[in-house]
Amino acid sequence: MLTPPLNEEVEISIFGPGYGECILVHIGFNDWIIIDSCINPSSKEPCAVEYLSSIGVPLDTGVKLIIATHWHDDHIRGIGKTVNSCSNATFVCSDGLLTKEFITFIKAYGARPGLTKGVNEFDIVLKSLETSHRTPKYASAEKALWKRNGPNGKPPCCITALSPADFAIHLAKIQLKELFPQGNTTKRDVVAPQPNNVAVVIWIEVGDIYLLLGSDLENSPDKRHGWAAIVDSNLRPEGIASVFKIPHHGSKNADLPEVWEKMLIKNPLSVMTPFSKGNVSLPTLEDINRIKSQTSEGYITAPPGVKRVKKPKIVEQFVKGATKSIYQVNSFFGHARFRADLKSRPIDWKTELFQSATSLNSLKV
Amino acid sequence: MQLARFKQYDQERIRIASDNIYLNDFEEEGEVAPSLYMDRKWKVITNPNVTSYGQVSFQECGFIAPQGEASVDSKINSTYIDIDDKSNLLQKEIPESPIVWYPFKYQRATLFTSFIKWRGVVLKIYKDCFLCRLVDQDGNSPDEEAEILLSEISDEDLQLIDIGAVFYWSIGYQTNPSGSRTRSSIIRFRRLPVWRSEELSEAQKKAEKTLIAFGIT
Repeated sequence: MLTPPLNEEVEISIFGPGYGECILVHIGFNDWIIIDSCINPSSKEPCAVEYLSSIGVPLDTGVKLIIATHWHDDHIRGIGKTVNSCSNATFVCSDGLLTKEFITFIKAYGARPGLTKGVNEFDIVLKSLETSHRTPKYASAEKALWKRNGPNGKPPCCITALSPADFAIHLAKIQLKELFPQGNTTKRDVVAPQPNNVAVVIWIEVGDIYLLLGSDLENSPDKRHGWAAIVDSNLRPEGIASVFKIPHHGSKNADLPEVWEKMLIKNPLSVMTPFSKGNVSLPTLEDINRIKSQTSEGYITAPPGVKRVKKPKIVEQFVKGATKSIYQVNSFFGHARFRADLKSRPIDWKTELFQSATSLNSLKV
Repeated sequence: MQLARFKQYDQERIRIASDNIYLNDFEEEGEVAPSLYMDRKWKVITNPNVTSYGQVSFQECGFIAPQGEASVDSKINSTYIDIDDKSNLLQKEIPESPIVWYPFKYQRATLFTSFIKWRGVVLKIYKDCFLCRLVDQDGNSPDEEAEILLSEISDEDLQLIDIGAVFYWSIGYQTNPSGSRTRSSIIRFRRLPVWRSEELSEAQKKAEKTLIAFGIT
């Protein structure tokens, strides 16, 4: 596990503790991209920082880009420390967050440590960027975020945002404005609103290898945003992806058949993270079967579902009487790693699964 | 000498934890005005004989005029203080970690010994329950999420349930002044302070500074 990829290897590593996800992409020659952040439940460290350190990647020079696809709690935990540690990386977030209202909101709530961490993490990021004189980059549909032209034998690489669409940014700004507290209203913890209008879908091309990383973007009946806007866009980069980070934990409302038909190769390497909250547990059995009908190369960082924390008998008695359900937030933790040589064709992805990560085929459904 | 600690765990809330062996698990919570303590580390001490669920009030050392009984010691940096030694009280300077002496009441307390204490935040509200995140205050067990039945909440607290509302859930046993023990589960919602216009103006100023630093005007 502690072996770094070769210079000529592309790597995609996906970490998922059951509530959250983090993706690392090695684009060759020790250049890395971090997309979102989650915490390793055992070490309490950000997965990206921990993993890169363990394989000897210098965080200050090796990480080129850190992308926060949105500010929900499950995609941003530990991103403050990650931005601090990767001192030369460019930070990218959704254009929907480029408002005075949202940053004021962050500054107001950031001073109040809460149980929901999204705001506090974002505040740490803003402070870190200010201190290190870095300017964030804002992502919107069809916008190139980072480019390597390929000098010194390195393969060319381009990272492009496919969302949020202009209309989604408009909706996000309205939504975020409503979050801003008014005077004499009660201070509460911040719970991110739904729907998520700001999710950043990422398209990565390294040489002739294409990756589609779907964030939490969902479908919308309004074709001006959501997956339909991406599929219909004639401005998105050309190419079909061989790797797909399945959006929104495999949920049906984030699955558009046209994405599989027009943006992905047949039987693409597909990977996702699970999600549990209240009576929602993703992916469902129906989701798993639907995804398996599209690819035989499906993986997940942990089986969907939750486990309970063992408690003393007296505590358990009271808890049982007072609750309808109770479960551990990060019930499982897994890491799925895929590596492929940049030059040899056909592309041969080498799959490695750590901790709770597993293939969809081996799940009992 | 009987001592106790107030432990800060965010800018607006403290916990009083006794260090007396017989009151080891006794805790009480109180709120302080954020205007006095925002962005500042501080410590508060008290005598452990404060009654359970008593109203707590605070004064910042030397900066705000004490209201009769409250006094402070700015020279002692320890969390602990002998409350009988008042020779250093009422200093004028504001120490880096001010210590506030809390007046105690000589009453026998109803003690609560907890097996587990969670801090919770409401994430979603359903017809008969609410979904919440629970964080073990002692850090002994991982974060959990639960759907707590509304029937478990007192009538007084029901009106406080809202998305983002914060509460505490303790499970343990109460020892009454008579010495009898009762198993108990207590859920109490925090009476959260309100946003003041000064705080919001301050946040706006900070945001403007950030935007200028990023070259966004």
